[in-house]
Amino acid sequence: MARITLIISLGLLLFFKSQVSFASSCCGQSGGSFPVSYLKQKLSLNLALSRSESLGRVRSGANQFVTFSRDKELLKDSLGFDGVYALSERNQVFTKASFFRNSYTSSTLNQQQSNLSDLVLGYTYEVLPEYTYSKWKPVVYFSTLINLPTGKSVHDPNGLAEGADVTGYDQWGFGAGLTFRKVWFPVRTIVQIKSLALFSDELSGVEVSNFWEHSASFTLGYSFVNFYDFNLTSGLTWQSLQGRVVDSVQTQNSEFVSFNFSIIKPLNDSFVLSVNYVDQTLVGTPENSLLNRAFSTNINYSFY
Amino acid sequence: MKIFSLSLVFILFGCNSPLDNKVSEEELNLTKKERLEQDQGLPHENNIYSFVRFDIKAEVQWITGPFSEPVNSSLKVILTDLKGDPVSLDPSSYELGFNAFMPSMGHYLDDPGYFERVGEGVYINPAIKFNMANDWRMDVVIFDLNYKILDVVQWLELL
Repeated sequence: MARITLIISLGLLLFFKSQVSFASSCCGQSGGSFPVSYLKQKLSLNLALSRSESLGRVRSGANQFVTFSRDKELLKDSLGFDGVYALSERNQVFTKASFFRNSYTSSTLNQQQSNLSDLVLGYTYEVLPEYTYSKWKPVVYFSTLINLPTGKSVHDPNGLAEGADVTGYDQWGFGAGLTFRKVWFPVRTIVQIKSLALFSDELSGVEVSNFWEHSASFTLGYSFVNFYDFNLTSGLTWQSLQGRVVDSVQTQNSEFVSFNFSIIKPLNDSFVLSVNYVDQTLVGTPENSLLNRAFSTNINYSFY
Repeated sequence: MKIFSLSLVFILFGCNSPLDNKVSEEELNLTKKERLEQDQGLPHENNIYSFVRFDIKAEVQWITGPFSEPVNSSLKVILTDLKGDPVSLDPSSYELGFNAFMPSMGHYLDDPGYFERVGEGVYINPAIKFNMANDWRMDVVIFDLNYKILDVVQWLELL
């Protein structure tokens, strides 16, 4: 039983940490999820190495996915970090940030730039706790988060073509999220929703209004207890940017859906390894957004 | 495992996909060129716009570009009075400028460059740099010497 609990715990652990940070907010994209620790973890640290490629864009109202020409390549390599620390049985704090090395290559240009993403700090309270067992009631977490303006926005000078250098909003923000988790071993589901309000600011002489980033994700996981303790998770994440006004011009809302697939392997009681694939070209009816595809590898350390 | 597999299949095949309506940039450029040539004549010739506060018309013509990458695109503007005669702005009071804005995503171009007067009423901006392929609102602006916008003509282009 202890082993099964460990496998569930470690499998769940990496779910929200395996998401890739696309961080391309000019075009409607950023890290949609936030980390939550489960099952008596005191400290959880996660490192993610990822490579994301932008495949094209969907223009607003055009309902067309325009793929980039063959000579264009937009790559974002990132080293992501997040950590969760349990202050007490039902209280957690977390942080999340990534360092990006972005490049744009075409037949005429070869540009590269490195920037930090926006830094996210948050607090989570376990509303419906682990120990109240129910056949149907999920465990519920309520989180608040702050977005610190440490990233590079599309309004900052000296950018790369196609906004390849953008790593964040570079605006202060405050948001809230809910996480629902239910396990019917060996199947588990996680639903996470988040709304983040970004506050108006002047960025390099450009007036950017308050606006919203919303996200919702659903994930289903399966644990193979009898096959090297592998976990598979897969799901969808919907994200949207709404209500942004730039220099008195109302911009179009952005929207896209990411398909996520992860293979997770607990290495021992403390370390978990995962490989992840995220693709935004497979599902949904995106609007006014770049569409990306990414691979990432995560290593997670947990202390109980 | 059945539930997991079925869910995966449902997600991938049961929903709309951007791949259902995919077109490459090369195909889009070809379509755009053909459409403009058939419907409107050559798009970057004989484009004439009127300023509102000044009795001046601006004929705009791309000499090179416009390119969607931050490489130099060149724009020629010929200013004429209402009779059609070329007319220059008084350099002691006014300056001609360029700007471009992407309304859908809400950002400006990489570098608006600068206009040089090369003849009576003829201005060339040799160093305009865009940073993205998409719909752009192009502005040719008359500034005062403190860069306050006095008048503007605008048009939309798909890069």
